[in-house]
Amino acid sequence: MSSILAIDGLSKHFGGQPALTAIELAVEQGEFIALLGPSGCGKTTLLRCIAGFLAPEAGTIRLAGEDVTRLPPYRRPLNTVFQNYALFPHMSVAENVGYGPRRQGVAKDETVKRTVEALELVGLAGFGARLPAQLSGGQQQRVALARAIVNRPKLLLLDEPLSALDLKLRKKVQGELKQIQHRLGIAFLFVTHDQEEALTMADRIVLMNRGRIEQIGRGQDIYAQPATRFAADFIGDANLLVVERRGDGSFALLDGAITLPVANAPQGELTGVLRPEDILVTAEPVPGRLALPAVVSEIVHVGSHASVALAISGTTLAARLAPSALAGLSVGRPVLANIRLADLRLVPGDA
Amino acid sequence: MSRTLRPVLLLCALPGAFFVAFFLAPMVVVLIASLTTPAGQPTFAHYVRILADAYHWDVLWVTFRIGALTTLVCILIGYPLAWYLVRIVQWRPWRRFCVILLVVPLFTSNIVRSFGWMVLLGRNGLVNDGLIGLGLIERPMRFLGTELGILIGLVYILLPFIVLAVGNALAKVDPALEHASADLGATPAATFRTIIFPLSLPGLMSGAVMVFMLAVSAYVTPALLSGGRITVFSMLIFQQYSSVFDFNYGGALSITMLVLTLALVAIAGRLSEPRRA
Repeated sequence: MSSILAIDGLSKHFGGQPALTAIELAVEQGEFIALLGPSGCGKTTLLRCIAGFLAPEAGTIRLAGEDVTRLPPYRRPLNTVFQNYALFPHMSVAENVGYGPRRQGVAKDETVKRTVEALELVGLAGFGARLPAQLSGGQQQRVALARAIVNRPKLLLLDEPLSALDLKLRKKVQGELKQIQHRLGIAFLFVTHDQEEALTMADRIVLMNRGRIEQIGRGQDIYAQPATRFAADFIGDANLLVVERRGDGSFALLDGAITLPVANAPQGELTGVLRPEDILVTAEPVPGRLALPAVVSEIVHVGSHASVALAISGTTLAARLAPSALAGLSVGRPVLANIRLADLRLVPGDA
Repeated sequence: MSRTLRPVLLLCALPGAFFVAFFLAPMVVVLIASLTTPAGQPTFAHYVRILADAYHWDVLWVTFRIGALTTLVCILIGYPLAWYLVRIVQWRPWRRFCVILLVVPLFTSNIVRSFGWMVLLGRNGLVNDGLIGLGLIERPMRFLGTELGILIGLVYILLPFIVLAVGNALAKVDPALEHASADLGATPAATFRTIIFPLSLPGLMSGAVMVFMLAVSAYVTPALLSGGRITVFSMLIFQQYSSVFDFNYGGALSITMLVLTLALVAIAGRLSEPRRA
């Protein structure tokens, strides 16, 4: 059984500048995949290559087993929800939604039936006669979705479809989008720069940076086991520690306050990753943990938790504490930062 | 209250006064003249004279036929030209150069350009020499004094209006719409037919209306290229004002022309009206 989408060794340059380098990606039937990364990381370029608006210099793109790398966009069995919806302004909502079936030569009454179904699915039944300009941003977004899914594509590409909506509406639409995807069983490839959006919606996240894929995995897995320094930094908060490689093969962090035994760590520059919630701040040592002497330099309350800045051997670490754990803490006070070496990960990349 | 309101009212009245002084008043003067005798008595005699005379209808028919053909040819040449400038030319300096080439003739006088065509279209002009040289014709063709000659001159002068209007409309079509259309399975030809052309239609219409109105009201080009053999309506008006000095009859001719032109434009606009909610 082949994947719905299989990308192999895909590379793309813009005027000598690499935009995508050696992309490998497989998407399975019914999966919800988020392409996540900062702006300029190549996620939109990758989406455009898959849709057929950009021609890659190297590599292949297969859709349901068929090589589509050289096919024009109108011959690819996929559809796209565009960032600014790109609804046809001179056509009614129903004409917009029925555009794909009409182009593919679907019979008239079948087109009408599918259009009505698609509009019902996105909660816009009865809006068919309106023009796009008469709809709100959220409604236009739904029309764009209906216009794409009415064609029953094998793969749906979504290019930051929620970025134009305000925060509250975005949360609502996120949930609806996930439901629709679940009901249709179509694979969704969703481009976003918002890690929270990726974490809440996607089955798997494809994390991109500088035209390369940094890591592919479930959100919680990338969070717990980041493969690179970039992955650790981009998903969630992380303390990134300088790692010194010693002559005997062991590692020293925080000016030698922490030493790690010889491990089968990757070659090259390494960074220590410690999540803020993995640091316990106490007055007495906690059994089973390494206690590091620290001084509280700042306490910031963020509602559900507090972020405490700790100065340890000239470095500042952030710890995340429940409000109840704050009792007796104040700025300037010496405390113990208790960590487990198992929570400390060494990943490639310069701190 | 009134102290602050008065300057505001005065400012608002200025554009209104401008329109009254320079557009409405001259029209009213012509309209009144057309409805009065030279002695100032009200009369419909001028209009009766125009509408009852078959000669006027012949001239009107020639005038509007030349106007419609000019518009059609301008569209047929101008749309592809606008497409080339907006969609095909990628190198900006070349595009700018083309637009300048297109616009600069508008700065020279119609008379100069029409005389130029008289030279080019003459019996031994460049056009006839060229056609004979290419072996397309054996004896010189007659252009001067034919509707074809007038048509060539008018198309040359009015083409920029269509190109600029259509080019402007084409440049405004969001490229994302083309991507969306292709994404939904439309071939480039289908995308043009269903998306780009309908969205450029308002620009095409406004350009076509402008060309038609300028073509039917043109005087210099038809006068110079007709060689006295063909009469268009503006020549009748010119005769009345410049030779006969009958401002009343001339006014009636002007108003007839204006009303018919506006009526035709309104009908064309209604026929091609884009769907509105």
